[in-house]
Amino acid sequence: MLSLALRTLRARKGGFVGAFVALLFASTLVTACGIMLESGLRGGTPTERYAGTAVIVAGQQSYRPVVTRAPDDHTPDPMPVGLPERVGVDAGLAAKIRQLPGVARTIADVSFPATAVRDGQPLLGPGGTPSLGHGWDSAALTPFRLREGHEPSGDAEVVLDADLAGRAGVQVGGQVSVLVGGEPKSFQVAGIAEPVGVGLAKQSAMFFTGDQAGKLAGQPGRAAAIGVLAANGADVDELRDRVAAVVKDSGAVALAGADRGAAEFLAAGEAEMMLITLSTSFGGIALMVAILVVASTFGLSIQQRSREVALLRAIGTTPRQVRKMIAGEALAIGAVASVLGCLPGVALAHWMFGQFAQRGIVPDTMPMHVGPLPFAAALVAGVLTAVGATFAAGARAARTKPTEALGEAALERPGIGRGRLITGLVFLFSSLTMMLLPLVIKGDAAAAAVSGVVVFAITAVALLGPLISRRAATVLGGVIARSAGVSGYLARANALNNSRRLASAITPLVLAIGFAGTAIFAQTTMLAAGEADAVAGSRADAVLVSSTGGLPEEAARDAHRVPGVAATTSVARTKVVAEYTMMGEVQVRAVEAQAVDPAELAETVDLKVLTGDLKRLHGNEIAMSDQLAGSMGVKLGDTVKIRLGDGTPVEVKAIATYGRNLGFGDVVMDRVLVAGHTTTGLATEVLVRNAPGANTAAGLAALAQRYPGLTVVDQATVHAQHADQQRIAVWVNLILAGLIVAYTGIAVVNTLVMATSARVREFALLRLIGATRRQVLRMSRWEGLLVVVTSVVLGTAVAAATLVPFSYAMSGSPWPTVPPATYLAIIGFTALLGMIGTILPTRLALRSRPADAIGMRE
Amino acid sequence: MRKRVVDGDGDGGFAVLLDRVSKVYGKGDNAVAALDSVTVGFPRGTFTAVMGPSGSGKSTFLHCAAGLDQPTGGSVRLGGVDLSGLRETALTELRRDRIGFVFQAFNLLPSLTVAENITLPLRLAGRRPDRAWVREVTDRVGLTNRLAHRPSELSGGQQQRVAIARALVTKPAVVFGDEPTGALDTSTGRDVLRLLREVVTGTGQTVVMVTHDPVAASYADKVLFLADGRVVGDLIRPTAEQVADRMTHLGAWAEAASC
Ligand SMILES: Nc1ncnc2c1ncn2[C@@H]1O[C@H](COP(=O)(O)OP(=O)(O)O)[C@@H](O)[C@H]1O
Ligand SMILES: [Mg+2]
Repeated sequence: MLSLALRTLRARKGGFVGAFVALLFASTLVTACGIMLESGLRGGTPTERYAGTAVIVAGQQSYRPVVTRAPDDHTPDPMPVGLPERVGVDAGLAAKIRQLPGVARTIADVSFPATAVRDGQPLLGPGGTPSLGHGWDSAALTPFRLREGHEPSGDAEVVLDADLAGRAGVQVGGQVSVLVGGEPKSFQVAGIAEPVGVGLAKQSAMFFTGDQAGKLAGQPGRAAAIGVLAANGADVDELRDRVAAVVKDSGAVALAGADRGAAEFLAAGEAEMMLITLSTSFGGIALMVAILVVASTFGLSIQQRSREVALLRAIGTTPRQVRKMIAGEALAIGAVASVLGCLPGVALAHWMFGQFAQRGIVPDTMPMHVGPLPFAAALVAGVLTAVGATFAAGARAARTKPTEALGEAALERPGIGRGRLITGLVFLFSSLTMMLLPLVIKGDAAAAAVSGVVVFAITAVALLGPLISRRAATVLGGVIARSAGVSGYLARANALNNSRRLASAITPLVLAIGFAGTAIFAQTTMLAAGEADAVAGSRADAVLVSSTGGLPEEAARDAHRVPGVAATTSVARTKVVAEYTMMGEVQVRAVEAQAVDPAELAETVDLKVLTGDLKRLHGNEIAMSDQLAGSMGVKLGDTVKIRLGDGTPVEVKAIATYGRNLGFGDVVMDRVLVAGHTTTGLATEVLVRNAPGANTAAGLAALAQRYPGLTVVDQATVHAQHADQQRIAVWVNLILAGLIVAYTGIAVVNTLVMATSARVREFALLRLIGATRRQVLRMSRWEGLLVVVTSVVLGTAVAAATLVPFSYAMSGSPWPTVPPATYLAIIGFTALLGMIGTILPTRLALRSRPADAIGMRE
Repeated sequence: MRKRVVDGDGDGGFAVLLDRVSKVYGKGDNAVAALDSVTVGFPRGTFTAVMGPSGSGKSTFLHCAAGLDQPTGGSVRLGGVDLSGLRETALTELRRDRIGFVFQAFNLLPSLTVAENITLPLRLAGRRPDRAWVREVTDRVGLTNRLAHRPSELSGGQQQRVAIARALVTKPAVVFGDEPTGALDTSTGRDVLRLLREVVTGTGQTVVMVTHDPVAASYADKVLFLADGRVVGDLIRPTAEQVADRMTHLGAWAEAASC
């Protein structure tokens, strides 16, 4: 049967182009996603400051819950969530590791923001990267070599990296002002050091005495990481394994080679996590779209050669053989398309990586890994998709009766199979049920559940397509037939009797509008709701922020002393990890959180408290958004365990719930609770409320003298900066939507071209019995319009079915934010595709002389 | 108002008149003369069969006579109108009004019912079907009880009868058939031929039919023989035997000519 399949493929290339292109595109996307996934998993942002070490011991920068399951329960464990604050390691481990064979030296590295100041201006690292302080011991990690002077020998001495010393304009023996913990202090330059073998591209470094560094870092007994220098001739991998065995119990990890960068650059870890999430969801959607598109094009191509299949049946081919033949075709197409899609996949991965780097989503030093795995995955996924997607079509073809080979046979069989009907209805009702979830549960959990609606609804549309398009033909066709003369009359008759053909064009168009609409408008809805929250909830007249990694508590106190200032609140933005069980599954989420000075919180922020009282916010008594409380099932006064940004578990008591989570995060807590559990220990902003009528602008601006890098901005600016993250998400979703639309565009155009070219004889006949070219064109225009209108209505309905409950879950308002121009662009583009796909092939079909076309073989 | 083609009626009782019509396919060395200066007229109210070996130019002849194709030389006049001066839309409208077609197969639109297929040419012309007339036509082809069926539910012979009814519904001056019985079994074929014969005798319409079946040709008033793009003879009121006999000679003649 495979040889027959291959020969059929060769003879009927046209009918398979659609499936082929869809699979090619899927393979391209899967390869690109695979490369991004592998790059994310391998990480490997090159280390700078740990370049001289063999092994780095660091805290586990992610949290994965331990789930105990019955032996026969194969549900995948929840994805680990990244921790935003440095986890760090117990400095005492250094001594233990030192005992291991092959270890020459261990160094406990501390790292904290330390910024030199010149003429009142902070000197950050190259390109706005941070400037960090360490103990002199850490110099050996890179290693740094003293170019001039000597190592720091007292609390007031510092060694600067050569680049920084140059920019600061200081010499050995001179004084330099350094901002540590937000306060500038004067140090004497003991020496100038330069890194050996590597450059510092992503930081500046300065070294204090070990004691001083420990004090400035403010976390006694803790280290950012422990560097292990290998003895001569020691094998790095073996060494890493030995170290790993020793540190395992303390929850730390041992990293060697390319992995060391992750311990140095926390953002790299986040970027890797983001790549992993992004690529899995992109890849998943690509495959799903491929399945729908391939199923639809294959279905159409098999329907178009039903006579051929009937003939095969008539001459003794068994249904099983027919099915095998079709699976064989799918296999061949899937394999070839997948292989060919790999190369453009690499190109796409390159492009996306470049875009991500340009927008700061991944560090631009992050390497792209092109290994063999993504290609293998693309091939397997492509073949499985092709064979799986043609299962239904094959089963249908196998049911063909031999007698259908005789007679005119061009009319399709009406209706759909019972199994398909039932499956379709199940999907439909599931999506309806999911839509109602936000009425019962709240928050992100509901929003996440609701985002599945689009997938279910589109699958339902794909399955029930012929029934839907028949209904559409009845309703719209009636209108068209009444108002559009004989062309409309013919369009209606064709639509009514070719619901399957119509459905194969409608499904991808609905998919394009549904997916693109939800992907984009979910983000715009979030963004708008967040902005509305932040603006409505802010009572601050000014906000102090800093370019040097944060502001110390003193800055808030100093701001309070500025005449006319009525209240100040320091805010440190961080995340906490919430763990809860939903529908029997353990959910772990890192949610936005704010650690604040609670004293004057009520003056500067209005969180829209729903239950409880913020006045009691103190210590481990925290406020939670009602969304999170709803997800976690927490009631006022309940005590629950959460994890701080560095993974430390704490027992907290919910003493208030509030509504403005989109603007202020899901947890608001006392800054005391996170002391020692954030990377910098600094506030990200200070909110300032003026006394009525007071003008504090000049007074606040003067604070910049005392705190170099401090700037005074308004709440809108802070929110805009904060929302940049979300804008990136919008952008990522735009790309996703663009890919899906491009993808379905190919599918739609192909389907329509295929469907229309099969009608050359029909058009010829029409012309021979007296239809003018214009009448035929007008007929096909009406058919196209019917497809487009149906798709726009259905696609919009699918998007709305997702977005309305989503918006309700996120903000309590059922109205999603839909920028009209974007919406019009989406439906305009899909409508254009639909119309071009119908009219162009009709024009081409009308080129051949009708007398020739009518005699043409089917 | 829709522009109508004026009936010149200057052809002295001929429904279709071909005057030195030539058709050359291709250029230079590859040129094939499918029709070579053919002059022939079809009088109103006659049934003519066109015969000839395969490749002799029968289809080309029919296409030129029916205005489906433009000859490379000579002129075709249909009901007194010279087709060579007409543009595509005018030609289509003329065909719609004055010509009916019956092909060997794929005659009907699968989406439309029998009744809808039959009245389609009228709708295309923007005319309302005259109920009594449609009924008369369907009665004549014997399909009155099948009007709501779709083509796929009919036998081959029934489908051809629907095609004939459709060809008649516009009361055309000429009905052209390209092997209309070619795909039918003998007895169904006979029915269809009898029907075409009736059209000519009953309503005085003109039928021109291409066929390779001597029995089919024997239903005609006159048989024209084509070979190598030229009219090489005719038979008036032929019998099947006469036609078969002439064809055998033609075949031999064509073979000899092609050597
Ligand atoms: N479109 C065409 N292009 C080139 N040659 C053609 C074309 N159509 C017909 N011919 C040639 O013209 C001649 C007459 O063809 P045709 O009218 O189809 O003959 P018949 O119908 O009698 O078999 C043949 O030699 C054929 O090859
Ligand atoms: Mg022929």
